[in-house]
Amino acid sequence: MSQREASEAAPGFGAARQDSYSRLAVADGLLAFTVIAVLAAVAGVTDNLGDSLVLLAVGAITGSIAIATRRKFVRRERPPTARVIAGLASTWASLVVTGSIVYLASGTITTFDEALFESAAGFSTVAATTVDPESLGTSMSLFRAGTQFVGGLVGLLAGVVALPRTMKGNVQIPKGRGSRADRLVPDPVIGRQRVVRLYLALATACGFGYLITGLGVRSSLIHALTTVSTGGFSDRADSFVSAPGGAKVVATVFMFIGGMSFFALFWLIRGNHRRFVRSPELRIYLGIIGVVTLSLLREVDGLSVGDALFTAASASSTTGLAVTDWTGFPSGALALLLVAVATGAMGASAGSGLRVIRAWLLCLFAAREIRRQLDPNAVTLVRHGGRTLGDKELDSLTGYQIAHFGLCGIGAFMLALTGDELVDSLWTAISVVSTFGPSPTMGAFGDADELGRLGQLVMIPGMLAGRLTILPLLLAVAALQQGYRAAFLGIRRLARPRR
Amino acid sequence: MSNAIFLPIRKTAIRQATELSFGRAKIESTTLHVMGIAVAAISLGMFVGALVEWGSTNRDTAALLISGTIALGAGSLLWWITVPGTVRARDVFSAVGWTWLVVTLVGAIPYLLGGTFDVPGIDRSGQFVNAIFESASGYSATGSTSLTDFEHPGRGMMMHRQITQWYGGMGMVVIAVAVLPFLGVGGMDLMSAEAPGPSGDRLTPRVSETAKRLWFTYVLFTIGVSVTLIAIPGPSVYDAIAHGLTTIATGGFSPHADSIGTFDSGAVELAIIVGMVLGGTNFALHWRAVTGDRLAYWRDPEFRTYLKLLIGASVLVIALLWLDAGLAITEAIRAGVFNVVAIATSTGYGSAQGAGSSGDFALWVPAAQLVLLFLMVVGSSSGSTAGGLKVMRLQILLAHSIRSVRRSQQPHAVMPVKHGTTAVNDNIVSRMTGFFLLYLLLVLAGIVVLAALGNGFLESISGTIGALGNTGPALGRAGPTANFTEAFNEPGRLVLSLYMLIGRLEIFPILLMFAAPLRTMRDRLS
Repeated sequence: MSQREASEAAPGFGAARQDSYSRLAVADGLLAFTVIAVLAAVAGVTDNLGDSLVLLAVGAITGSIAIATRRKFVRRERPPTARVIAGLASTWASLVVTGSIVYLASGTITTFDEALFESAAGFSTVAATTVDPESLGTSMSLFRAGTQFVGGLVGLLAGVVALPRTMKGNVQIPKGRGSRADRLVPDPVIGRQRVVRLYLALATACGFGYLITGLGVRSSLIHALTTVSTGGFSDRADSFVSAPGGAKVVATVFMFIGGMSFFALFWLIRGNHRRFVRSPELRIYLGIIGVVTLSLLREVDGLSVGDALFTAASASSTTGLAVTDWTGFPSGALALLLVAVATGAMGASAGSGLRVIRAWLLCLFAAREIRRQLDPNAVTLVRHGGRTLGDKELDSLTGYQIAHFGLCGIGAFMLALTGDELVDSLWTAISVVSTFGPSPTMGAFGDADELGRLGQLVMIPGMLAGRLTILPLLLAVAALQQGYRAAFLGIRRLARPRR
Repeated sequence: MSNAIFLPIRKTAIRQATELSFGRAKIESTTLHVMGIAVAAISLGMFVGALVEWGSTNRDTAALLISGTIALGAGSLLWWITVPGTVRARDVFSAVGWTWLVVTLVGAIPYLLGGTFDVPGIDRSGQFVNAIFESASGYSATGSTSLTDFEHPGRGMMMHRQITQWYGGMGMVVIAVAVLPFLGVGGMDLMSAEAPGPSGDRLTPRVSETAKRLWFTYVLFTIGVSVTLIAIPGPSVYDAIAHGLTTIATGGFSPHADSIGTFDSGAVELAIIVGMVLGGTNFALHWRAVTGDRLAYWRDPEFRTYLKLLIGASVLVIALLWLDAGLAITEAIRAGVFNVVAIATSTGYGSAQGAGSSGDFALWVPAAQLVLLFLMVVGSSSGSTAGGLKVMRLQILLAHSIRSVRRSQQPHAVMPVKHGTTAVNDNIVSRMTGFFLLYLLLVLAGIVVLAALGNGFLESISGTIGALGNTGPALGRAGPTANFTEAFNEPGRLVLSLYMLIGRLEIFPILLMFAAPLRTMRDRLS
């Protein structure tokens, strides 16, 4: 009996369970939300009872919805891409809306648009905030950090488990090879388990690291949740500026790890050191951080090696934690940081951005065009990691990335409409779509009030695209276009009735 | 420079038929031969400049005469001692790339001899850099200027400056192809490598005939714009000819510091707008229209999109200037339409009457500036004199992107990328995507390098995009009322000079100009 048949036959409400990938994805998301809401409520119950009660109440509702949904629906074994994308987008949207309800109900934020932005920034792991982090109680600080933790996990599961199974030509994800034990995702269930365990283990190690280096229990917990997820929220208004030196080192290391491919981490854990070291993507990722660090040291007077490395790791992993106000750096340093932020982290990592592997493949694609010019009749291939990439894979890669660049342009234009300066608009749009957050407009510590309300709202779709790839937005546009065409044809038919 | 650079020189392939009268064999090199013709051809512009100078200010006559003589002598010598060889892909890039580089260097000689940049505050190295920059900006039809004092050079020198853009608009290699009937198929490759955009329209079966027709259309339109400007009250005959030369070329140089703003005339601006739109249109369409096919424009999907883009961007900018910046509606329309067309066609004329006036787009609201920045990237039609990515590429890239999304919904559906009603070959789509990515990489590299050299961030972004798109003026301190000497340092101006040539030749010839010499050297060593 297959998994589907077994689950459909399972006792439920007396009827066969319906198939809905999207609803189950939303239920999984709400379940994760419930866990962080309850944990945050319990941790802060002595500090602010009101916030804890709100979190418990919302957690109870979301938990109930999640359990009921899981009992009623079943997941098809291999849903089509569009349905997977729709499921991921629905999960993200439901998390964002629920999160904003928490902020509004607790009185942390009083307006819906700001609450929506804060929640979207959390679940998209963008380090931009509308609240003063130092004014928040323990439960709300933990919940806010938890949203980033869940957001990072959703992004990871989407990039490592959900999308590679359904999307043919998903070149950004390294294919698993070898035995089941050597593969991170031999099947979706084991893949999910392995990713979640690895993610939790990293966050725990990061938290202990912070604790040992003297960051304090509350701060360690909060930063552990936002470092490995490459989120960047902090309980301090100045992020890591006044943190102990050891904590900065821990943050640098775990930001770097957070931006690493989970496939590469899995190889390392399984003892496949050779494959880990030989990963071309890892080398490029390291190279980018190295070049940015050296350039920062050259361009910025008085910057220490540690601070330069921290800033480079934060930008490359798209975390957004800051150890210095880098917005005042010379333009050369700012340009390099922008390139690092736009390139982003490795594929299949908690980080975001264009992704190192995609950027590298785009460079190889461009190099192929140069070779083709010299030898127009030669067969020119794009090879990566010993594998030749097919035309369909390259087509999908370039097609999506062109849309990605377009999205950054549209985002910048929308921000410019709100009165933001041209360079600042471009910086902010790229930063938000890469889920980095800070920009010259918002400052190094991500003060989103500087964007204005309209600016905050127009950045929310960019966050979605940054966290879950641009596909959900593009599919929405395609659906709108199809709807528009259908409506147009309908009107035309009405205008010209058949004789 | 040794002959080894200008290859392929096939000493083994000496042909009896190409021996000089004094018994020595000619060198077989397409690169040197094309370069010789191009360098000799630009001497004509210097002599015309000398003639104008002699009849007016008479300050730089000697400088222009000497420069013209050097160019004519060197070009003729190169042409005389060489014969065209084979035209393989790598030879095409070598020929076009080296020709443009040498023409740019030779074009800087009049500025250096005439002391055009010998003004207070600019040392010798600065003068040299500025001369190279001005020459590159001229021959690439960009329109950025490093001139700080427009009254300092004589009228003839300024006319020479205008003529450099006229040459650059249609291209020197097209001249060479027009006079080299025996280049055959290779001639078409040479022309395609130099021509802006992906269009490879062949107007006649004979390549040299195609080149001649293109030049004929170009001359006709130049005369048309000049005559129209003469007929309008305001510009003198000198001004009309000077602007006629750089309008169809979509160059943007003007003998006046305030560019078109000097005339403060709506009629002049309208005539220039029409001229710029014509310059930004595929010249093959012009030829067809001139020869009787009046509907050629409307049948072309690229032209229709080009017009829609111009109209849409103009409406958007007008709305932003009117509603956001608070300009009067008439002022917004006048400034908006002129500057949108000037930037989209990569002409780069300015309509501002001094810094701070409504035409000074460096002071416009950021959203309007972003529209201009987008237009700098896109440019105009393929096969026109304009720069940028070209509308056809944008159309195909958009269609490709939409197809990728649709494929995720229907993975097994057959979905060709279409341009108008024509299905585009996947190989061409792939090539256009590769070109776009290279363009993007160059923009990123340019921004990082310029910023690292100490130039402003806004200037680095807009300067790089403007240079690669051959637009000319940029934003910030490099706006339409400013000059690049104040906006960029010397290394920055040299980088921009290189970018102008890269943009004018659509990237590959400059990137690959070393390929042929290097491969031949490698063959010899092995």
